Amino acid sequence: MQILRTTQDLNAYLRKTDCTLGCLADTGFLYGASFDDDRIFDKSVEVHELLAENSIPIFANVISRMEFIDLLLRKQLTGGCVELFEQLERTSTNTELFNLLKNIRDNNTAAIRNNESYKISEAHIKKLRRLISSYSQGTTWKSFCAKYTGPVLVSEWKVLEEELGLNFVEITEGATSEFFHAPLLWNDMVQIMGRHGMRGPDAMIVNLFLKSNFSLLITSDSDFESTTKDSADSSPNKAVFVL
Amino acid sequence: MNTKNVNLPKKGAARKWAQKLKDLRKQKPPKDLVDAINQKERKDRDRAASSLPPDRELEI
Repeated sequence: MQILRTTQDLNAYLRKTDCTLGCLADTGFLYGASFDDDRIFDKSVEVHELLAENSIPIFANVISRMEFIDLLLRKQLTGGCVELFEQLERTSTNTELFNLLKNIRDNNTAAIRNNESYKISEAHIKKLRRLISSYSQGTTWKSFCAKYTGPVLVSEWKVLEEELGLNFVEITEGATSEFFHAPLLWNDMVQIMGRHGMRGPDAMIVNLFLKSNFSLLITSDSDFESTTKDSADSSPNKAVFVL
Repeated sequence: MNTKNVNLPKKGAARKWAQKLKDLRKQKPPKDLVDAINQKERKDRDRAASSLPPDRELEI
């Protein structure tokens, strides 16, 4: 297993390795290539360009797909909150909403200063929905969502998958396909979790990569480096690119 | 899995996509939402004003 760290390394690897089947990517890469306030944005875009030049499709598992959509929702709503805050004046009846939005705006500003991409939490969304809905029996919340998340999740998603070159792997327990040289077993994933102290969604990606015919894994998580290196299943031709 | 319908990445797509998301985030909030918040404030103020006890209104 090789570890690649720079786009020059990746370029050299792509020249000598046939990756036309595709590469595997984690949520961090997909997010990094979507938001310019993320610390890995420029590098992720550069990697995406290399994949495009070499006609290498990007594969992710369904967990990453769900995580990515969820992060998109949270990030877009964060932007909406910041914009709404700019339009509000503090009054005696909107204190709770005003304070919530101010808190979100402040966190966002601090994150930008630290080169981080801030997203509101699920708890924030619940509170926001309750407060905004109180102004007009839910229709205001719908209009807020329609503005900031509707276009992305309703009309743009299909285009996004096509243009970014995203594909999703769905495989059932013990099955194989042209993408897998060995069956994917739940037990193998659990063993990776236990041996490396790794969270389920990450262990699932490692297991998927090791059992797959994909040569390249693109990730923003340096934990994948040691986990894949130590694995008995690792192939010398496979590589992990750490963003 | 059917490989005939595999999506291939297009050059410039990531930057274009990031810009699209940014443009959506930077929009002004819906007018009906801002109006609703302001109107609620106004209605509450009106309600508070009209609920003053009559004798006090007479005193004024």
